[in-house]
This record gives sequence, structure tokens and C-alpha cells, in this order.
Amino acid sequence: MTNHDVTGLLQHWSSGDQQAFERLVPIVYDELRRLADGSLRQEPTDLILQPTALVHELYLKLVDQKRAQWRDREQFFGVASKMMRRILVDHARQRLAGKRGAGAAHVPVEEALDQPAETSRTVLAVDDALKRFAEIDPERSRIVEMRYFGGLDLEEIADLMQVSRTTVKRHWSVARMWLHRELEQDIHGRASLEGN
Amino acid sequence: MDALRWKEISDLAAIAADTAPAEREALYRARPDLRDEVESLLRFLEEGSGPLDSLPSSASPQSLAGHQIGAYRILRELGQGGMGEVWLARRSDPQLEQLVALKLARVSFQSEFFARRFIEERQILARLEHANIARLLDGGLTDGGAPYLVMQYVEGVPLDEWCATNELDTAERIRLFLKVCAAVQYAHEHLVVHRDLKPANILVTAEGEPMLLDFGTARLTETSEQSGATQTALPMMTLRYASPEQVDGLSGTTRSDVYALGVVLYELLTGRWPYVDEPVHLRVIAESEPIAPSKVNGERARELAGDLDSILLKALEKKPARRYGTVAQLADDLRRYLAGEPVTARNATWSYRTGKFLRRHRWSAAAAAVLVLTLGVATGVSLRQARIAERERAKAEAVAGFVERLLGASRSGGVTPLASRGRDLRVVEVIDDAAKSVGDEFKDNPEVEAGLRSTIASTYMALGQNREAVPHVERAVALAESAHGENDAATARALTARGRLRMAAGNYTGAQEDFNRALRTLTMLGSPDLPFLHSLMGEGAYRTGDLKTARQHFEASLAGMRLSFGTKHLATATLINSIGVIADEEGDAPAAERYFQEAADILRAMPGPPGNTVYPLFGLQRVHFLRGELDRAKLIGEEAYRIALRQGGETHRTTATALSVLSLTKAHLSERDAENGARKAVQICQAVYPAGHLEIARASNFLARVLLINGKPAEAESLLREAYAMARKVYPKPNWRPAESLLFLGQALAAQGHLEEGRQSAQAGLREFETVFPGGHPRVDEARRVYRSVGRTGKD
Repeated sequence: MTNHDVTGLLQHWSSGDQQAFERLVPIVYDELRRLADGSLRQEPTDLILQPTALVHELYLKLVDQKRAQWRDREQFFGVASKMMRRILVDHARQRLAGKRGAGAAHVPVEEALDQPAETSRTVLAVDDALKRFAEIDPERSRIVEMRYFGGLDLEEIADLMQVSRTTVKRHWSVARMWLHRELEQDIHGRASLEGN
Repeated sequence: MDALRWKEISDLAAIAADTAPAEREALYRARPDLRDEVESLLRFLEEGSGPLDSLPSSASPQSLAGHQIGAYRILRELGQGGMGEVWLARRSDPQLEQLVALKLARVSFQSEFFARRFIEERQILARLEHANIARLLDGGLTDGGAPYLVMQYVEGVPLDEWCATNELDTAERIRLFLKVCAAVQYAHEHLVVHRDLKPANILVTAEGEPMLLDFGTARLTETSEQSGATQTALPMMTLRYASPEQVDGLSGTTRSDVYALGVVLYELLTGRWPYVDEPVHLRVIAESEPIAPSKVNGERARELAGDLDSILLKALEKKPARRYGTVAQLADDLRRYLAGEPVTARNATWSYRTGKFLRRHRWSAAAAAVLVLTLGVATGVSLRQARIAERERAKAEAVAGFVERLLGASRSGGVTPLASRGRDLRVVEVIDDAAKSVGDEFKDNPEVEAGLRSTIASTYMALGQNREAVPHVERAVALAESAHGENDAATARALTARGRLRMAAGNYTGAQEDFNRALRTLTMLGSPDLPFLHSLMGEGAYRTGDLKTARQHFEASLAGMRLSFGTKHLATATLINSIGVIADEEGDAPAAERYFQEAADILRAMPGPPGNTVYPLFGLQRVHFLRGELDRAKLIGEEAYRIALRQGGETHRTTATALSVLSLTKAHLSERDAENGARKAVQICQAVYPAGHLEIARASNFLARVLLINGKPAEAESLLREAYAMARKVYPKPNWRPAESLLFLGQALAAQGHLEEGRQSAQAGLREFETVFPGGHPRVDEARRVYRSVGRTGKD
């Protein structure tokens, strides 16, 4: 798979071709893992997985920069954030299922993502709540995805979505409140609340 | 909950969140039905401890706190950037209680791109010493191989915030901004373009001094390879302050910095972005005209109308050539405004070409701007900032005019307008198009065609496409000859271009012919270009081994440079060094020493000192080494190594050369770290050069010589064999490089008991040295000593 193809797929996807996205997923996913693994073969203090940096590097690596311009960036970071979300959620699930160490290959990326069980539960809960949020508010849920899973800061997101910083801050603030309320309800038990 | 109801709730919640709790009830009066829902959301307004307030994918930032990196103890995180994180750290040395900002590359060092960027930033920062630019203090690699930079820690607030909190008035804001301009201008004078200027990168200290930070996306304008049009640093820039040409994917120039400063000042004075409305969108930047500042800020409208409107709009021109040529010009106009004098922006005739034309040709216009830049860089090998500053404006105007006329003519001539072909148009395409149509379009105007052909050829050369340049340069010469005759500056310019091209292709005779003709004309005209032509001619002569002629040209060039730039200029020192190299090769060691010394002294006295200082130092080092003055050689070698390290960082090729040279001297002095140093130099060369490169061979030679001294002839032998093969491939004819490998290979063989084979190899090396330096040379003397030592071993 060449850079060329990835750029092409991005462009197809942006013009509405959902199949292009499905083909993009494994490429980006694999590459991101490889990058993460590579960046983790360092001394212990360097073992910090930085999604922003990874995403930047992935962009530079995958995309034919002669063809890709500013306008492709939003899609790209969107894809990358979705990928980070998948990786984190997969990992959290495995972690909670106690799969790790049970014969599975020891992968450095797993080590860096190694979270306390509590974080794993949070990741799954946020993922779950975010799915519900996306149904009523797709735009704000994209911001949350890029911020929480993709690790982009609000200014970067404003730049990517081409809206003002103030707008993104407001969107984030509202989305955050909704999700926190939702997550609190999760803790108190969702079923009882729905019975209300 | 359905999406519609959520929209109502979320809109109200967003407003309520910005409203003081006591005043919220007033908001709910219109929609009492939403009150409870909004209030239940607002319970979570406070940020800090919720699940979403810490990211799952990054370990907590505290994890580095308390760690030791180099001589620094990490205290806490200061911020994050695309390339890494910035940490507050303290030097462990208790005598130097100093807080620093330590920038650590986050992504693996094996990512070549990031590593290169990091090293580049270090080189860039190393040459800047200005009271309003955060200084580079140190840098290195962590034990894990991640690069880090140590910078002056600046405690301050972003420029816009400072102006707002201190409620500065218009004049105060401008005065503060002028300090920023001075720092940016200083960087430009040192051939550095910042490319990401924004309030967040300009902190104001408690004393009210603005400090420029983050040269992470900066670029040197110095070498042609770095001025290429297709560098894409976009993912790391901030769109809000990006210029139209940067949005277009072109590399930022000094005029892009002028534009960014324009946006910064616009925002400082009006409180808003220059265009119709946010969202910050690339199309807006590329196409919309900025709104006159006086139209947007009611409070300051009267102050802004007139001069400040003109100044800001000129800084924000879509087309770089229309903006202020330098930051200094922008600053001058602002000073004139403060002093109540007339500003240049208002007298300018910028509007005589319509804005509509520019909009139609926006992609091509940006490409034309790059043309101007590449031309500025391509014009002379010893091109230096003074010359750029003097001529850039005139040249920019002239070339932009040519290209515009060409584009305009294409339209009227029925050729598809370039601009209509979409946004992917790049410089090469503009040039290719220009190349194709220039002949037809300017049939009746050979003067313009000649000028354009020269421009096209120079641009191809700057882009490294010498072959494409050939037909244009030939045509330019022919046209200039017929339109202007022999004795015209335009003809000389075309001839000089062709000479450079011929020289690059190894056709020295042809190059000489062209240069000589250009020389006659320029001499007659008393052209200021003469010294540059002489330096080209010197280089040509040197490459053909005609040292005497080379020396004459370098000396003529030096005389001219001294007149134009004074005795203490970089260009002057560079030429003195070149003459030193000639003297050295002529075997006149005392003269070489004098020249190297003079060049080194000029460069040492310059702030930095600049990286070029290492070249005369290498020369001096060699002179002393060959004379057996090892202690002096070592001192100079160490100085060169320090400068290389400071300018290029640990993994720069010049650092490798310095390390090789120094290590050999140290080995002769029986110092223990010699071997490690020489090995490291080889590793650096292997990392930065392609396989088989001459510099790898050179570093291997040095390592082998160190190994011979340390009694490891077997390893030395294999290194020398490889080095010889590489050097011979590049120099099939007699040359000192392969000769050196042969000579020491002889020593390595003899030391292992292969006496006859060793003697033969050393003899072949010595003969080659004698052929290269028929008039005798310290290197030949050295070669004789080595040969004799091999012969002696043979007799024992």
C-alpha cells in the first residue's frame, strides 16, 4: 500500500464512498500500531504514548503530501482518532477480560497502553456513552472523539474543523457536561434511571 | 432524548455556562421547561476531576517529573507541541541554579522526519542570539536516544493576553509589537524564517519584554535545497496566522512572516481576525480580502483609519511581492505612524494591478512568489544576506512582473489559464507551462523572453533539474545576444547562468568560455556582480586543478567583496579561506596558515560564531598536525568540534568531520577516548550519507589510522580496503583521497606481517601523492614518512 493509495482512499471517502473508509481502517490501524511499537522501544521514561505525536507522524508517513492539502487534514485526524479509539477500547476490553499474558504475544504497544483496570473501565464507559451521544449530537461527539481518544487539543480541533476556538470550547464544554452526567448515571446504575 | 430537544437544551446550556449563576434564572424565564435539564448539566461544569478530564492514551504528565535527563532534573510540564513536550527543568549543578525549558522529542528518534526537524531546530536556534528570542542553551540525546533541546525558560503571558490585561492603548501596543518586529528581523538577517508566528509563540515577561519562542517550524533560507517549494510542514502550523502561500502548500518565506505579523497586529488593534467572519478557513485566507481595520473596531476606528489601515492591509496582501519586502520596512512604517510622519504604504502604487487579477491567478501568484525566492537563492554560490537584502526587492518586482505578464498573455492568447486547473498547481508546473508557452507568447519581445528564459533556467537549477534548464539557458543566451548584443548586463547574466550549468555538468572549458565573456562585459560596466562571477570562476578553475588561476579569481573576488561588504564579512572570510585552501594545496604551508588564521579570526569575532568557522579551523588544525605541533592541533580541533556541535548538533556531518580530525590528533597524543570518537564519527557518517559516499570513506580512513596507532591493524585493514574502493570509484584519476587509503593500507598489512604486500601498497600510495602534488607538499612528506616506516618494518 503506497502513500498514494491512502491519499486516494481518503479522497474517495471524503466524497462519500463508505467502502473506502472500510479499506482505510486496517491500513491505518496497522501502521499506527507499528508506529506506537517503534516509538516505545525506548528507555522507560520515554514510554509515553502520545496520540498527537503519533497521529502527526502517521499523517506524514501515510499521506502523499504533494497531493494532500489542508483540507484533507480534518478527515485524516478524524480517521486517526477513530483508530485510537478502537485501539484503546480493544485494549481495555482485553485487559478486563484478563486476556493479556495468557499466551498472547507480548506487544510493546500493549505495555504503554497498560492502564489500571479502573481506567480500562472508564475507557469502555466513555466509548459506550459516546455512542449514545453521537445519536443525538454527531458534531459534538466528533470533537470528543478527537479530544479524548485522538489526544488533540481544542485549538488543533478548531483549526481542523475550521471553526473558531470559542465555538469548539463551547461545544466541548457542553459535550463534557452531558457525558459526565451520563457516566455518573452509569455508576449509579443505568437501569434504575431508565425506569424513572 | 431526541436530537431536536437536545439541540435546544445544549444551546441554552452553552449560554448558561458563560453566565454567572445568579443571572441564570433570567435566562430560564423564556424556557422554564428546559431549566431542570440545563441545571442538571451545569452540575458538571467545573472541570478537573471527571473521567474526560484526563486522557486515557497518555500516561500522566507527572511521569517524567523527577527524572534526570542529561544534567537536568525535570520539574513539571510546561506545554505540548506537535513534535514534543516542553518541560520545566533545573540544572542539577547546584552552582548554576538555573531553570530551563527542556523540549523533548516525543516520537521515536528512528522517525527520520522528526529527528531531522529536531536537529534543524537546534541548528536554527544556535545561530540566534537576541535579547527578544529565547536562547538555546544545550541539547543532546537521552540514554534512550530521544533528542532534546534545552532553552532559556521564559516566564510570561501570550502577547494578546498581556495587551488585554494591561489595557494598553494603540500606541503602546504598537511599541511592544515593534520589539517583536526587531526580533523577527534579526532572525531574517540570520537567514531564518520563523513560519509559525502567533501570540502564543510570543510571551511577554513581567518586565514587559516580548520573547519569541518555538522555532519548531522555522527554516533556513540559506541553501537552495532548503528553499524548495514542496516542503510540507503544514500539519504543524496554525492556520489562523498562515499566509495564503503557506495555505497553498508552499514553503514560508520572510514575507510569510510579514503576513503573520500583520495578522498578529491586526488582532492586537481590532480584537478580531482580519477576514469577513470566522471560521478560519483556508479558502477565506486564499481568497477573501481583509476588512479594513477601521471598519471593525468602533472604539479605535478613528485611530485606525488611514495610515494604520494602509499599513495592515499592505502587510496582509495576498501576493507576497505586494507586501512589505522586509519586517524592517513594516516596522519603519509603524514608527513613522507613531512619529506622525507620512507612511510609505499609502503612497504605494500597489493597486495599479487589480486585485481581481490576483484572485484569478492565486495559485500561480503564490508560485511566482516562490520563483522569486528560489531566484534569490540561486543567483550566486557565495550569495549572502547583504546581497539578498539589497537586491531582493528589485528582483522580486521584476520577476513577478515577468511571470504575471506571461500569465496574462497566456489568457489573452487563448491558452488555458493556469489558475483554472485547480489547486495542485506547483512551481514546477508553472515553470513547465512558462517553458512551453514563452516562445510563442513573446515572439515579438525577445528581451522579455530572454529575461524569462534566464529566470526559468535559474529556477530549474534551483530545483535541481539541471537538464531541463539547458534548452532555456541556451535560448536565453541566443536571444540576449541578438536583442542586446554582447556588451549588456542581460547577456552577461544569461552567460553566467549557462556557465554555472556547464560547470555543474563538468564542462569546465565551456563554463570558462561563458564566464570569460560575462567577465569582459561586467568589467566594462563596472557591475556589482563582478565579485560573485570571480568566485564562480575561481571555483571552476580550482575544480580543474588550475590552482594559479583559481587563486587569481579568488583574490579578485576578495578585493570586490571587501569593497562591498567590508573586511569583516562572512563573504570576505569565506574567500580568504578559499585562498587558504589553494595555498595549502600549492604546498605553501606558512601562507595557508596565515589565510586560515585571518578567516578564522573574522568568523570567530562574529556572533555565534557561524558554522563556517570550522573550515578555516580544519585548515589550521591540519597545518599544525602535519608540522607535529600536536597540542596546538588538539586545541584548534576542540574549538572546531565545539562550534560544530553547537551549530549542527551531535549527529551533523560537520560534527563528524570535526570528531574524526580531533580523534586522530588525540590518538597521536595517546589519549584514551580517541578510538571511541573516531568510531562515533563513522557512525554519524553512515547515518547521514548514502552508502558508498566519500565522506564515509574519509571517516573510515581516520578511524583506521587511529586503530593503527592503537595496535589493531586487522580491523584497520578492512576499513581501509572499503575506503579505498569508495574513493577510487569517485576518483579514478590520481587524487590524494584514494592515495591516503593505499598508503595506510600498506601500514596495516605490514603490521600484520604481510610485508611485501604492505610495501607495495604504501609505495603506490606515495607515488599517487607525488603525482598529485608535484611541487611537494606537507602531505607528501607525511606519505614518505609512512612509506619509510613500512619499508623499515619490512627489513626487520
